[in-house]
Amino acid sequence: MMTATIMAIDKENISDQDILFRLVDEDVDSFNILVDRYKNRLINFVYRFVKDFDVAEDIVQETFLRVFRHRHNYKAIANFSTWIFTIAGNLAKSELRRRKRWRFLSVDAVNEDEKKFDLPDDGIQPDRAASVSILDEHIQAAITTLQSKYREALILRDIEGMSYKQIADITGVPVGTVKSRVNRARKKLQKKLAGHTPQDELFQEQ
Amino acid sequence: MNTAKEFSCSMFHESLRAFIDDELPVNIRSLFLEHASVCTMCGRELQSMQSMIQRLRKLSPVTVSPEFDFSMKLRIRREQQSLRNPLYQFRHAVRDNIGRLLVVPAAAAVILTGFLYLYTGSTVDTLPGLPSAVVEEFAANESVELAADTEEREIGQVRYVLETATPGDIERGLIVTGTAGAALYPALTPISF
Repeated sequence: MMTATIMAIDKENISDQDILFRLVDEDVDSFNILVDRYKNRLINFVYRFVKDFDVAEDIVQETFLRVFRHRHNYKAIANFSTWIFTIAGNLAKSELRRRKRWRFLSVDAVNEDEKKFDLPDDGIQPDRAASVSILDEHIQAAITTLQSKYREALILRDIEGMSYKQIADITGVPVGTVKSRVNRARKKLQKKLAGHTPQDELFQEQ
Repeated sequence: MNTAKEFSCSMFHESLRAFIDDELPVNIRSLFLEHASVCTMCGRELQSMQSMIQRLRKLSPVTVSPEFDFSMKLRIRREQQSLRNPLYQFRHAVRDNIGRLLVVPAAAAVILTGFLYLYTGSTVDTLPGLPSAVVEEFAANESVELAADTEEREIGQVRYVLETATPGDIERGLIVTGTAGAALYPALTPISF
């Protein structure tokens, strides 16, 4: 019991840097702590970016794989969370660029019940899982219509709650540019949502 | 600026992001809020923006599937096995450093292109007519015999046609055959007939 308690405390208190240090020796248990710590934050970020759950999970796994492959560079990594979000963001942006080059319909799309279009859907989809509110879907659909750089800034700031400095480090642009992108993203999103649903109905407390 | 009236709607819109992010100085913040209370449009804009951002922060978080952990462990195990394969290590080293690897040949290609352009850039690609002053200059060059007409000379001699040759051609040993419409044979050494 004592041993289990100590281990639980260690898992919570061990820093990202210490985990990376252990990873050099391929300490997979330490790596699993890292995965547990970041998997849901990353999937939340990446899914909002690419709006395809399977692809988002694949991107998150690839992100962790790259962390594992480059674990020897841990000394050069000042801030682990910035680094891992940078990798995930770059992979998500690559996915969006790949989609732009290959705009085609999935073979499965011939079946009306299994539409897998990658096009932004502004309509409400009442057949989605009950746990995801209709309003959430509507907002997510509106986010998907934003240009990649505005989408990323908005998600990291207003959904992930990151500071402007952190977002600047992740995206590689100055803080001023990040603020400008967040501002424009908010205005575009506001306009998009206003065009579909009356404000009071849309933003009523759920 | 002391009153809400002096705080215009455009100033309000410029300050909106900073207000939402709690970055406005205290005095500006109070003017901002005062303006929002007296200006219906701006007030509505503020309420709408605040509601939207609050809603964004309350979006249901997405979580990984139940199979995620298992498939992640599987990928890591495969990665560990692959890392023991030297060919895999080499492939990944190349892939990870492809940018650096391409810089040197790219730079070399640029330098070589520039060098070739500078060295051969002055090669004649048009065949201007030859003014009489240039003919006299050619005549002063003892290594060249100028033909007064287009008649062929004996084998071993360089042949020129007055109206198409240029000073640069002679220096480089280029031969121009025929009349103004003829082809140019670039060569670094003279070609004998």
